[in-house]
Amino acid sequence: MKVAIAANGVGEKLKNVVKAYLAEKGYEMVDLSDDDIFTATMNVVNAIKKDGITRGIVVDDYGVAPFMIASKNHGIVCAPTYEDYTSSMTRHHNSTQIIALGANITAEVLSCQLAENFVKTEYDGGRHQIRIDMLNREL
Amino acid sequence: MKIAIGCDHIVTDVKIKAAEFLKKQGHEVIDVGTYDFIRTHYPIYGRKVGKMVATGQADLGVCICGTGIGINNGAQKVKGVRAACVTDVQTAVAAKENLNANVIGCGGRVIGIGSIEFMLEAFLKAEYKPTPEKDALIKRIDEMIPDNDCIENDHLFDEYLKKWDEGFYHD
Repeated sequence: MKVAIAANGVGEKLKNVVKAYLAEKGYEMVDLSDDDIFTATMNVVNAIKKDGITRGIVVDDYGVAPFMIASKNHGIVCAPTYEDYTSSMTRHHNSTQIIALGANITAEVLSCQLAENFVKTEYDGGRHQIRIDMLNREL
Repeated sequence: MKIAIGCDHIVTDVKIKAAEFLKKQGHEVIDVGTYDFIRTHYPIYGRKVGKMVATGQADLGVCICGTGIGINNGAQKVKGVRAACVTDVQTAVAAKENLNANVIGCGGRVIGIGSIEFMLEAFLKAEYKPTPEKDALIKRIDEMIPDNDCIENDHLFDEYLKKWDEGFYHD
């Protein structure tokens, strides 16, 4: 599976750790980093919308800016992810394509686990799809 | 301060406790629902909170669902909303200081009411600390969503609710 990943300067170190961890697990990592968090996030959004990549990870200081930027795109659900439960459940229930990690908040070992949970978990579909259809009607 | 608060059916009890906390702090709270534990859909309440904030009917919004992700995406997709979904005080404060977030959220199945109270209190006390760079990023975020009918069309979700009632969405 291909995974798009990007960071700005403050997220660079954590991004490299997560990228190496997932590469070791056999994922093909596409690094779309940029010093500007808006550009870095949109690079990942566009990889998902146009290049057929199904999972993206954006790393900055707190994960807040990538959440705002990614979620304001039609068809994109983004999850700022700081703990295990959300890293899996947001795939099961929200069909999330992008997670945001905050280098100031989540340490390296946990971040790698969150990223792995996210990329390996599938969407449940079924009743959850009405909520995704509603999000896609909003924007 | 006037604060709009919303949730889905998973965490209504948590939402009520958060609303009571805000009222005790002296805020005016507008609870947009849901009000019970009957299965419903988080975008309805995320949009309602987002609309209240975007139209100035509320100063700030609070969105809670199981993980917080669904309902805060629902709020985020309203033009003018800048939502953060957090698990700790530091991120809540950074969201206000750096991005002037106007909706704060969390997962009611992720963190407990004690952490939620700390997070809400810190978010409400924090102030945006403007710089030209922050102002420019906020402007770019606010300009992302083109004008659409999301705010004024209260029948936005009718067709999906009809399909739900007809059994289209089944596990």
